[in-house]
Amino acid sequence: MITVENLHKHYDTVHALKGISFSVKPGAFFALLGPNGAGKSTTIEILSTLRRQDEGLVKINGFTLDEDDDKIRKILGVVFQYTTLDQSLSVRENLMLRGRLYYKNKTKLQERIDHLADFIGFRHYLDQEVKTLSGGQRRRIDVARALLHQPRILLLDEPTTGLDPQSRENLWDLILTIKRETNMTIILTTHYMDEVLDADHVLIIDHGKIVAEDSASGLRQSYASDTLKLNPKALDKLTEKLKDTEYKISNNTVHIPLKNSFEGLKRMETLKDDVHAFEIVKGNMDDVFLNITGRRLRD
Amino acid sequence: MHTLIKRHVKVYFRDRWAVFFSLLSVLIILMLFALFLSNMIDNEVPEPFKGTSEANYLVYSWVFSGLLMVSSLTVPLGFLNIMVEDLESKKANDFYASPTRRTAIVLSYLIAAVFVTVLLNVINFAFGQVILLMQAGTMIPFMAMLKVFGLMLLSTLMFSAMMFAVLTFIKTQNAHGTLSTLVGTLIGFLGGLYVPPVALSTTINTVLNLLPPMQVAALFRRIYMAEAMDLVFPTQTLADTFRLNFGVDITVFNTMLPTWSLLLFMVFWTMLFTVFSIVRIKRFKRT
Repeated sequence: MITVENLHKHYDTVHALKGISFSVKPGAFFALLGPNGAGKSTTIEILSTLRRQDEGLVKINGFTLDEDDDKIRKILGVVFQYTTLDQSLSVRENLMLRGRLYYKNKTKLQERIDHLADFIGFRHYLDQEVKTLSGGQRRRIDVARALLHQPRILLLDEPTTGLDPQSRENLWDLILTIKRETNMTIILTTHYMDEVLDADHVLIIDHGKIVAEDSASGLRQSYASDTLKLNPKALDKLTEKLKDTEYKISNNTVHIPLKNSFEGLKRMETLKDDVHAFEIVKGNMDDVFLNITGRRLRD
Repeated sequence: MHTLIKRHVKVYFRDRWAVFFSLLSVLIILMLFALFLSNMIDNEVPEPFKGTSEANYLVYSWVFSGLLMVSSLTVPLGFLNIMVEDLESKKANDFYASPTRRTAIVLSYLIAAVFVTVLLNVINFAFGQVILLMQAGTMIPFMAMLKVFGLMLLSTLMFSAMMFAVLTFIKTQNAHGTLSTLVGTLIGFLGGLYVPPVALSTTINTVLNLLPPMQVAALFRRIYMAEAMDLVFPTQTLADTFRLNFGVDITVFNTMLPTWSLLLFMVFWTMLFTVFSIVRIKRFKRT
């Protein structure tokens, strides 16, 4: 269990975290969603003992941050935004050198690397120099490095940033496999909407404050509606029919907000003769962010 | 800490260019020596010995003793780029997030720098002895070798602590590169290798003689060249003149600095930079 209470952090004149509080249940997949500069990475850096908070209390599996840092470090695995691997060393050398910071027994460490090579799928480039690997392959080794000491909690700080779509998908599959096959608590920071859809709990953070939190579906239900998009045969005739309905027009397309997709089907029964085409668009996390903060996440 | 030291050393030796640039000043001095510096010292050799193996013994001992001072400084400077890079690229966060103490992480760079410098200095020394054997048919006496090793260790400790302290102010590899170029260019002058003290004014010599590079170079020369000077110079006056002209003996305000005072200076510099480094370690504290 992780509990964070009233976390504050300043960088000179910037108030990066303005008293955020949250808790993460054991084994949960927890996502922190927000734009660049929202305070996500600062939160991760404080949790991983890299930064000191100005104010606030953090407890991780019963250990108090600042008092039990060494114990906390033993149960945390961190995948940073950037790779921390030594480019001129082989994958095996990197993992052996990083692993020795946790393992006294060399044989056990070698066994762990062997296990991870199969689990994560990097056996065929285990003895290759890191600089010869692709961005996606390096990221997988970064994940392996974080898992070396079998942590109870995995912190992923924007792990897919800078990856091409295919590598991103592969890495995402790996993260979901880790979630499925281990009982590890996963905390993810991201600014990609689609990455939080698999999370048990999503916390939206903006300008150092929590602006919303719930499951991904809960947030969508609360803050984003599905939309019926209509391509009218005659716009005037259609809008006449919709005079008692809330709608918006853009690019000659009529947008009607819906409570759910079934409502859209029901409406189509009366409107089908007036349109060339229609589409029911599901509300997404971008809409959630827009409705909460008044701007798009990518702005 | 042992693991981190091993990692730093591995990373350094895998980067052949890093090793090359750490020793670039040494190579440049060797080139200059081959081109004209050797002739300059050769001119100081008394007539009956000119062109003999004894003269070669003197000339080569002078350059190789100076090179030991140069590599004692440039190798830790080059090596500690690993620390600058780890901090700049935030690679060090990986170590900070492990259950290893921050002080141990920071010290691992210093200890690794000392280890690598001693190793490269031993190779540098061995290379010098091979050249001496080829050119002069002899090596320096065994006792002198032991003294050189002792001094090598002390000078490595001193310059590593100095470079570590300086590099705690450096935050980017670009800045490190600029500093390395500057130091690499100056070190030949500061150690009296590019231009022997005889060619400089008294004021400049006094300033240079108060600085660690000239003091360390003088100590290396005294040990390394003792036998060669005894062989080549028939009179004490000739030997004394050579010693002053070529930075074997150094003076400050017309007072000759004896060996014990130079050693004391070295201990003082080492302690000063170590204390300064400890103070600067706070840069690495969690903020």
